Amino acid sequence: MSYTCEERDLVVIGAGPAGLCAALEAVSHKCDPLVLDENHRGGGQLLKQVHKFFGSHHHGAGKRGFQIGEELVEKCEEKQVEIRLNSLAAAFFQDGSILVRDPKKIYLLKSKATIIATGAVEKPLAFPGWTLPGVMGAGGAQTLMNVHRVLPGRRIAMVGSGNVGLIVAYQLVQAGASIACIIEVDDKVKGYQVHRDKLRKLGIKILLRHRVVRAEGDDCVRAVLVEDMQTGRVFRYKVDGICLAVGMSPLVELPLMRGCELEYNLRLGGWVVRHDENMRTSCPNVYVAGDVSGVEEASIAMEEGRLAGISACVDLGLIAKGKAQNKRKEILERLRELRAISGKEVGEDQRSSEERNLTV
Amino acid sequence: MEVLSAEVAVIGGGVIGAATAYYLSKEGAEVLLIEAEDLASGASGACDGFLFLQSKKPGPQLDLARESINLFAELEKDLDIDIEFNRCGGLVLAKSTEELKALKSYAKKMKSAGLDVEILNATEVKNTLVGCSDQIVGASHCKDDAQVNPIALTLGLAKKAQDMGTTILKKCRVENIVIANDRVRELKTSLGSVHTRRVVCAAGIGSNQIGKMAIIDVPVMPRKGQIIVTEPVAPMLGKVISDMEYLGMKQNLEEIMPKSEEGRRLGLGFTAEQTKSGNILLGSTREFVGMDTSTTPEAINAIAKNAITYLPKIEDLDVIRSFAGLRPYSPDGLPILGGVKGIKGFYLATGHSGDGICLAPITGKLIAELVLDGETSIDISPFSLSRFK
Amino acid sequence: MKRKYILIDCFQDIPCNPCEEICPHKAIEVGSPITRTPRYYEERCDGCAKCVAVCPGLCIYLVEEEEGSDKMTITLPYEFLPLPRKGELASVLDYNGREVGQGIVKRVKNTKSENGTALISVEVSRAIGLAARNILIRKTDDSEPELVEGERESFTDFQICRCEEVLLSELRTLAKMGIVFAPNLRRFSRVGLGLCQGKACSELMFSELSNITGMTVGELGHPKARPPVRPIKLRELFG
Repeated sequence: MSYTCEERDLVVIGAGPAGLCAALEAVSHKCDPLVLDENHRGGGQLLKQVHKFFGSHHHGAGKRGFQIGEELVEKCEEKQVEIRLNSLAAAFFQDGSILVRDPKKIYLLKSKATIIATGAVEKPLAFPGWTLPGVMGAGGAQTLMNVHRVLPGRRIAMVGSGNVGLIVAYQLVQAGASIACIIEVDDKVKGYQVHRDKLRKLGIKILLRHRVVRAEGDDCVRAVLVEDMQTGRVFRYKVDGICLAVGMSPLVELPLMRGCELEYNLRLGGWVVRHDENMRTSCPNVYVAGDVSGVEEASIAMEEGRLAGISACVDLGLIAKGKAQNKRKEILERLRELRAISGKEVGEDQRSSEERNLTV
Repeated sequence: MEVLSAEVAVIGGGVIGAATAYYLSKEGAEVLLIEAEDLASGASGACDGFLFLQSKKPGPQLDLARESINLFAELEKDLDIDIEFNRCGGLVLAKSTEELKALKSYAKKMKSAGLDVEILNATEVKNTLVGCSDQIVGASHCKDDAQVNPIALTLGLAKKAQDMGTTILKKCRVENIVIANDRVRELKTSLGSVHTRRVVCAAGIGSNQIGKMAIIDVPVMPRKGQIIVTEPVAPMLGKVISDMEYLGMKQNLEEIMPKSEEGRRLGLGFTAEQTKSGNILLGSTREFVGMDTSTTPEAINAIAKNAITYLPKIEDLDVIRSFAGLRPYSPDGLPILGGVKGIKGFYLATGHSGDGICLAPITGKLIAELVLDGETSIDISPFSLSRFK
Repeated sequence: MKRKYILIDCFQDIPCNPCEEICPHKAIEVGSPITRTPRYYEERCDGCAKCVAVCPGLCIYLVEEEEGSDKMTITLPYEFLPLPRKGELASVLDYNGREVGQGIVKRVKNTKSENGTALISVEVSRAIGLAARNILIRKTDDSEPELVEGERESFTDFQICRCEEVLLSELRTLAKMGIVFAPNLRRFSRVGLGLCQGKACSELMFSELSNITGMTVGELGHPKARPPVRPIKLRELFG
């Protein structure tokens, strides 16, 4: 075989919030992790997030996503964490070796422990015309405008009212586009109220109980046909872009290839890697963190990364179990808080702000 | 589940089981096809589509293969699904004068066995196979070599069998075979009992286990074959292709087997075919590694090297996938066909050792004849289980 | 008498507390759990507007009013370019984005500490003051959608897998043949076997098969993952 093989204690696949936090956690326990990422910059999806984040100071709340990403990368540099960029983990074989491709060479990595933090991919939505140029994932549109400074369209229909749909719609307006409509099949807005309100205060309407019938256009999208599911009436909105924000699926190929068990959990994005509370998978010394273990917020991904880092270090014999247990306890407590969003739905809260504030 | 009954029960929903059910149904038999998972879940769904006469041993195996190729032409018309049968012709490439010498003497044997084989010189190969390596000094060409889509074939046969009355039970595991007075009486399955007096075992690598239920030793073992797949491109290969090492591996010919230790371990032999969808399937290995169906860096690397050695023009194609299947390998590489002494109503159609796709139609046809008429139009005694005793 | 206080349009329990953390006077309390909505103590507030700039939800506003005056000043978070200029007349929008009147831009603060969220202080009449939530950013194309007749009943077939050019109807035909496992449907239909390696279409296949069989996606099984996870050139695999 002509592939060289390098041996490492800990390999982290993915330099997003989960992977970087895992590496930072590991390095704090005198582990020397190697982080791989196929992109030319570390930070993952944080780099295209230009809005301020929720959460607490542990998660960089109040800062913008890209700033959090840049800080994580800086911290890794400070701690001399080795991050190999432009390095694709192309395969994770059942013998535990990872095939890595960078622009110059291809080689194998053998690690004692591996943390997989490969994130997620946008879910598609199929309708007649969905293959026309101009129909794209909302995350893709976000990358175009916030990373590459290309406006994906002048007048856009957003499909889906979850946080991604709401945030990207708002950012499209910030970038100079206009939003023709936001289409939601459900009878309530899926994302946070404050994200909804940013759009509401711009006069942008969310069409509840509506669905896309088809996209029209010859060479690219010219219009979208939207059905009001209650009346059955169909409306044509002239648009040059349709963004799909209908959820994300965990990128489970690498752990699946390695032999990790999956489980189906619709709430977490579909097929996710089965893991315990400490991010251990069904394969020994293989851990997951972030969206690959279930699609949630970046702040949750960061905490999961820390947990995975601790678990790897425990299994490598670098931390005493008692010390690990204390650290885990704190993290799990924060995770519980982050996940404890009450059942209160945005759509149910139709009190006007005037009414609310006048009674303060 | 209520107790089922069938005139003939076929165990295995791969290409052999589907073909057997098809030919049985065609003769009006009432057939139950029992599959543990789903159609083509085993080797039939994880292989290439070679219908390669040149790799068959002159003699009974080659005769069987030639009959089978003729049946493909009929199937193409009779089945409702396009099986992508393509009589494209095949090439065996020689990359040294020694190899060419061996190939020439081998071609002579094939010719005398009645196969239409011609030897091409380096220039003729270049003209036939645009973009092949300058290292190639010659090749043998057989215009009757062909290709098919194995998955479409399996599905097409099963679908047609079903239309003709075959019942297909999926996710159904055979757990025991009840034999009384030297005759098959009943199958116990995970979905209940099946009363039947005739059982065909077409269970591929599961045949050993099925055999045990009838207290016979069916000597098949899983042999892994790894293949890599390129992105689809416009038609460029035209032929199905192999190298000499492939021939060596297929026929246990020591002098043309791979020389390197790695090549031996992997059972490496080069194959290439372009499917109708445009992908180029590059193969392949022959490894005894139990039930492991993973693909390995060693094999992917070795196949890529071979591919570039023979077809340097395709080096910039993207590889989008790799896969591996477990072929039911018999000790001599020939299928195990026919009845079993001492157990009336129990028939074997297994052990095709990587030739299952090619031999499926003729296997199905002959087994149907045997089950229904007690005799076959072609002598299948060279393939009997008793040859191993 | 001058009065400075904030309005908080934060009605939903989400995990967020920068407003509490930034306030130097503990005038905002979220507490534990972090998902509680903020409570405001006006008596502790000095109107520094730090919370207005830090709120990730852009939902805190500072109100300045003076007894006897028919004007009030609203300071709102603003994240659009170009920024309004001091003295400019701005159209004021309410919570629903409706124009409720005009205001005069009194201050524009956009320093590093606001981290990109400019603070725009607009003087408005007391009548609309408490309703002001935004100023008009630009004239947008808000042309009304057009009603289309006779669109609902017709079925239009379309590609569900663009790499392998598989039509939805073809996938349905195969699924209806009794294929009950996702891995087999992929094999037979070729959906997900193309250059994108299923990233764009696997999910569609899962849900389509689930609809037809009535089984959950979890019961349908997941196809194997095979190397490589991205297309890699043959010569690269050569090593």
